[in-house]
Order: sequence, then structure tokens, then C-alpha cells
Amino acid sequence: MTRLAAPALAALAFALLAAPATGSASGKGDGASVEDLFDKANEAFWAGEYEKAAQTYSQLEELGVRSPELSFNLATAEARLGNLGRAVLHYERVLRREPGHEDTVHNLTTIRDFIARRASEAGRDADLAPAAGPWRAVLDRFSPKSAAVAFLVFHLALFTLLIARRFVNAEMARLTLGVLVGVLAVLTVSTGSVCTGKWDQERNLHEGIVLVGDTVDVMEGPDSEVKRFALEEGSRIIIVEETDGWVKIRDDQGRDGWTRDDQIGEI
Amino acid sequence: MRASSIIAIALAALLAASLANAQAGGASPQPQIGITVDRDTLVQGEPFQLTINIASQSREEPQVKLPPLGGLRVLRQSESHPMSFSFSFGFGQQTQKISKRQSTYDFLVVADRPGKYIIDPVVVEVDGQKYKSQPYSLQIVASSGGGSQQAPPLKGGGADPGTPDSADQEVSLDGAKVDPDFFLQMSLSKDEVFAGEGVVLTVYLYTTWNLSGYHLVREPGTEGFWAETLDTGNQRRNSAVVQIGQKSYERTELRKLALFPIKTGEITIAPAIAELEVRRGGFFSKRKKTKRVAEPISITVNPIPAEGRPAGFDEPNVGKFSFRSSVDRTEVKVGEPVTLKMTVRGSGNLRNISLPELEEVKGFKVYAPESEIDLHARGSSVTGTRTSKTLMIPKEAGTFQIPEFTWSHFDPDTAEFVTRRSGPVRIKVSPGAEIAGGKVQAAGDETADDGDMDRLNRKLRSITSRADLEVGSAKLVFERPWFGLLAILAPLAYIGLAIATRARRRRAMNEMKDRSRKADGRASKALNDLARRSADISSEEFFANLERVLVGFLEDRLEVPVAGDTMSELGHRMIDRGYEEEHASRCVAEMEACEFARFARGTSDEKERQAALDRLRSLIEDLAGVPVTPPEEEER
Repeated sequence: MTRLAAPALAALAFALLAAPATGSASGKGDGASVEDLFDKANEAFWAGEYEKAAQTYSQLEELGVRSPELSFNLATAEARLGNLGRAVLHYERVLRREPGHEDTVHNLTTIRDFIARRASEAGRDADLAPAAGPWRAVLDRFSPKSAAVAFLVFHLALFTLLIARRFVNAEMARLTLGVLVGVLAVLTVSTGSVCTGKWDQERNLHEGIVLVGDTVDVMEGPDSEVKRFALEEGSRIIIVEETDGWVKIRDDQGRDGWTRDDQIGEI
Repeated sequence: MRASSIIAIALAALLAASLANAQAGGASPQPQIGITVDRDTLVQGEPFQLTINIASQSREEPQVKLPPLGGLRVLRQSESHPMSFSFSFGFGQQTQKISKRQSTYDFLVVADRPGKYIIDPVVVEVDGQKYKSQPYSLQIVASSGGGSQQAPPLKGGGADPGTPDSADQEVSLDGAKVDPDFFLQMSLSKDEVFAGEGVVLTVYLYTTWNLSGYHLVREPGTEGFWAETLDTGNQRRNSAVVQIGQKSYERTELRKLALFPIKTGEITIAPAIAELEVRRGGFFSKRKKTKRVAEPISITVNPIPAEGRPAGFDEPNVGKFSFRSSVDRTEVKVGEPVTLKMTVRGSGNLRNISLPELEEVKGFKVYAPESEIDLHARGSSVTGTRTSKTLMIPKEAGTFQIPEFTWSHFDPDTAEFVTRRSGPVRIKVSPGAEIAGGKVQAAGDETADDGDMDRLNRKLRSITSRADLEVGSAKLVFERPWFGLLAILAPLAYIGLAIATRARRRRAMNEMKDRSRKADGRASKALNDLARRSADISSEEFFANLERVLVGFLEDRLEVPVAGDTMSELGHRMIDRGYEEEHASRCVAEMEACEFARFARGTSDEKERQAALDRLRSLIEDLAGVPVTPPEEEER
């Protein structure tokens, strides 16, 4: 019995700590008004009042509402308004939370194709979403939630089997458990790495989207009038530094430069 | 004044007493029982209504016993009590309560054979007394072949109604397996249609019994069709009495669908299944559930002819339609919306037809059209209106023309294509207030590539109306406290378990070592104790204890149980743990000597016991000086 006491106490402590944490995370707060606002925004959209719809969706985001569907609708309203950079930004935010979101992938691809064609007709080159490296490609396939859930499942299964193995004497059973432990260890390490990568991405990778268009001039420095290069609306860049209304950005070719911060939106 | 009051009271009392006596003492009036039919001439096979009316006045509820209906077949029956009221009179315990009731029992019946039918008397029991009506006779005349509605196409035995020979003749119906009591039929309004042409599928229930309930448990199969329901399922069912062979059935529509074939060839419609609740007998008989399956039916779907197809004809445009287009105004200012309306009216698959699209109109910004559909099930077809509204905003002043629209459909009745035209329409746009340098910018227009943007927006998937709106921090799952706790809990549990196991093992080892250290002392003490008791115990007990002391000493030193070992195993174990062969041999010899002395006949003398004690003391002393290797641990 004493052997079981420690884990039982730990589980109890976890339950006590976890309950308020999960409650606040999923708490709907003033749910009715939030849903009313969402419906109002949708009605405005259907009535063709895209500006009003976009404003109401943004208001919901300012209220702390987090939802891929909300970002998707905001992006679509921005697209209807012709704000393609903003639309790309919000679609990218959806994909951060829900990689593979079918409608988002469709709309994002359609808009990027449109911008690329527009740039090409104007005699410019545009590579709005440069090919990612293999590790980034792996990370982009998982949402933070799915990576975390997969890691927890494998992790808990691994230690459950390790504990079970201590109580098993039969050679065959110990061998089988050993093999399973090995497999689970590999899966735990893999999903753990993805979790770490996603966390690092969220915390340290400050990616942005060029919001205004058709192109944005990137300067030598803050308040500089010397142009280094130009970026197409909807281009994905990395935000290196921010200072006094200006941001230092880096494009996929490794070129650095400065632009006004209202021209860039962080994903 | 006083005299008149007395006379009034006396008269009232006299009247009340006489009434009370009359009611209390007299029997209840005889109930009135009437049996009627709803027509003068009753014809074989033709359903008619038979009504039994009972009017009674009684203190208690009258008991009615209805007779069997003398060979008449009941199609439907109902019971009603149009009048029922009570009144009381008298005072105190003399109060009498009288109820007046009227009950009506209606039967829809049919006589299968001509002749005279006798309905036995109706029995009514009122306040303990039974009353009977007169028997009622009905004369049914033979059918002349007409009368009730004929069922849809008969197969097999053509059945001449009224012919005695045809009674047992097998009768079949398309889409049905005819059953003498009840069956389902699926019926199509046409056997052969063009692709996209509407055809009506009706599921009928035929019954000769009174059903207390029925419903479809499986709808007819509509694979290969676009289906529109023509009934709501709640409305009053259409029913009629039909003659099949010699029998009359009540036929009820269970489902009516308009089907529009979407593929060609022969299509088989999977059968519907209905569950029926049958009540055989009178009002109080038990209900029984049964199922009936219709027969599958097929339809031939021909392709729409390729010859003569007008340009722009779309396959679903099959039916009888009219087409027109209009604008809500022909003179507007820049920025004022104009709505172009296209309307198709008629019967056919209105939900799937396609209307002409307005691509671009010079001088206008054209928005994506919105569609409205208004459908009605009329008779055996779907009719209605399909309207498309396109919003257009004029961007500049001038006179512009909306082009003529042509819309084609295929008329399946004439097997010809029909092309309808509407327009063109001219719209005069006058300058708005925002005019600037000849070109006017309408509200919402910002760039010259609006056409491109519209095309882009049409390609984009629209918003979703369902969302899980979570209000909370933007923290990722693995930044939440519970995630960390859950992640750390499992390794902590494992480490805790490992530490606890190791600590328990170490404690056990220490205990063993302690016992090992004290082994010779405990053995010496046990030997001294045995020496003291030697005179008082038997030889067998003495040598058994002596052997036990040696075994105990060895177990303490070796830290393992040895009592179950054979002599050979014990010898090997001692050598393995660091004792010399001589020590092992002496131990084995001493144990064998003890065994021998225990079971040898006779008793051992004091000297012999003392010698054995001395030998064992010497042996233990020698063994205690030998360092022993620790036992092997089974690590996990």
C-alpha cells in the first residue's frame, strides 16, 4: 500500500493543480456576447459589409478569443476588402495553430498565386513562401496541440511500461516489454523534439508578413532613404529587431533591411 | 304574507320529494339503440358506413356490447361520445346523480358477397338491467363491375370482379407482392423518361384490415436520382378504396417523391419497407406489429438527344419552363445599385438547373449572383420559381447595355430543345456627386483591377459560421502547467519506485549481514542452552536441536535458506561462498551424525552428547573465522 501512496498523492496534487488550469484555458468567459459578436460579424460578411465584418472579427481577437475559424473568417473578410497582405497574415496564423486546415491552404495558395501573377505581369519576381528546410517542413506538419498530445501519450505509455517491467518476472514478457519500451522511447524522443521545435518556433522565430502592397521598400536603416530591395505584399519574412516604429527584417535570401512596423504583421 | 311563505315551502318540498322518489324508486329509462347505414342500396364490394347510436340515461356508466358484424369486413372504425352530462338533485343522503350519454360507433364496412346479412342485437346494460336492440338486416346486391376505384395496372390474373372463380385466382401488381390482408406497392408515374426529367414515385399501402398505425421503416431507394419530397409526412394521407380482383382494399399514400434521374440506363429502385400495427377484432383487441416490403421497380432513363442541342445547354435544364430577365431600374446615378433579376418558372428540377451568368458589363462593377428557390409540390410534379439576383454598381456615367440572355432547356414531353431569350436592357447612368475629371469612382472601388479581385474572391472559400470560440491566454499546450506536471509525473513515479525498491533491498541486506555477524554468538548461545537441557530431553530431540543449530548458523552466515538443500548441495554452496572443502565435509559429517543419532535405536549417553556438542562448538568456531562472499544479487 505504501508503494502506491506516493503516486496516488502525486496524482491528487496534479488533479488539484490541473483543474483550475484547464478550466481557465477553456473557460468561455462572457461566451454569449462573444458568440453574438461572431454571428454579427458573419451576418455583416454575408451582407457584403466586409469592413464591418473585419472590424468585428478583430474586436473578438482583441477580446482574447482564440480560434482558427475566427482567424480564417477575418482573413477571408480582409481578402474581400482587397487587403491581401492582411489576409495572408491571418491565414498563416490559422496554419500555425492548425497545419493542413483545408480551406485555409486553398485560400492562401489562391491568394499567393494571384499576387505572384500580378507581380509577374508587372515584371517583378515574387517568391512569397520560400521552400522550407526539412526540419521546418516536419514542424509545419504538426500543430502545437497535436505534437503535445502525441508526446504526452508516448511519454506516459513509456513510463507505464517501464514500471510494469519491474513487476514482471517471466522472461518472454520482459523481452516483449523491452522491445515496446524501445519503440516508445524513440517515439517519445521524436515527438518531444517536435514539441521543443514548436515551442522554440513560437518563442524565438518571429516571422512576419508584408501587409501592404503592391510592394514595400526595404531601406538601409531606420529613417533611411536608401532603398535596399522591395518585397511583394504577402511575402513571409523574419523579424530580426524592432525599434521606434521600425523593424529590421530578413528575407529568404538572407537580405536584411528596415521598414516601417505598420507595414509588417507578425504571424 | 306568512301563509304564502308556508305554502311555497310546502310545495317545493313536495316537488323535491316526488322527484327524488320517482328517480330513486323507478328503474332507469330504457336506452335508445339505433343502427343505420349511409345509403339505400348496398352493393357488393362497395364500402359503406354503418353507424350504431346509443342514447342512455343512468346512474352508472352503461356497458355496451357490440355484436359481430355478421360477415361484413371492417375497413375502419371509430367511436365518439358527442353528448355526455350529469345532473344531481335531492338533499343530503337522498342526492341522486343521473348521467345522460350518447355514444356513436361508426364502421366503414364492405360486403364481399351479395345476399342478406344479419347484425345481431346490440346489448346495453344500464344500472344492472340489460337491454337488447332488434337484429338488423342488410341486403347486399351483386356488383355490376363498376363502383369503387380500380387499382393501378394488374398483372397475372386479370380478375373479373364478382366472378366466383376469380376468388382464388392469383393477382399481382407492379411494384407489389399482393397479400390478402395488406401489402405495399411502389408505383412510378412513368416507366421511361429522359435524364433529368421528373417522375413521381408513390409508395402505397393496401389494406383490408383496420390498422391502428403504420410508418415507413425504410424509404424507397433513390440512388441514381435527385429526389424531392412531395409530401411532408405530417399531412393527412390521401386514401381511397380500390378493387383488386374480388377484394376491396383501402389504399393509402405513404410517400410521394419527385425523382430526377441523374444517370442513364435502367435504374432499379430499392423497395420500401413499412411497419404496420394491426388490430384484429373489436376496439379492445390486441395490437400486433408486422412488416411489409414492396417489390423493387425499374425505370428506363434515356439520354437527352445529342442532335439539335443549342449552344450553352446544360444537362439539368430539363422540364417545362419559362424564362425572363429584368432590372429593377433603367436610370440610375453613379454608385447607385441596380439589380438584375433572372427568373425561371415551371416544373422540373428547379434546384439543379443552371441560369445564364453575367460576366462583365462595361461601366459596372458586377457582384456574384444570389439565388432563391421557391418550390411547391403540385399534383404529381415539382413546380416553382428559381430566381437569380445580381447586384451591379455603375462606376461611370453613360448609357450601358446589359446584353441579351439566351437560356435553353429540354422539354421531355415534346422531346425538343427550347431556347428562350430575354433582353437586352439599356441602363442610363447619370453622374453622381463624386464626379472627378470624367471618371467616377464608385464606393468600395479602389483599384483598376477590380475584375481580377472579383475573380479572386469567387475562387476563395467562404467563411465558416461554426467556431469554437475559446477565450483565454494564447499559451501553447506545452506551456500550460498541467502539461509540465503530467510530463514530469511519469518519470518521477518511475524514479520513486526504483529508489523505494533499492532501499528495501538494502535494508534486507543489512539485516542479513547483521544476522551473519551475530551468527556464531547465537549458535554458541543455542548450544549452551541445549547443553543445559540435555539431561531432560530425549536423544532424538537433542540431536534434532543440534542439527537445527548448525543449519541456523549456516543460514545466518550464508544469508540464504539451506534447510531444503541436500548434503551435496549444501557442500557445494559452502565451497562456492568461500569455505574450504574440509569445512564443508565436516559440516556434512556432523549433520549426517545428527541424523544417524536421531534415528538410531537406543539412547545416547551423556558422554556421547557432550562430544557432539564439543565437536559442533569447534566446527562453528572454525566456520565463524572464515570470510564469506556475499550472495549474488538479482539486479533489475
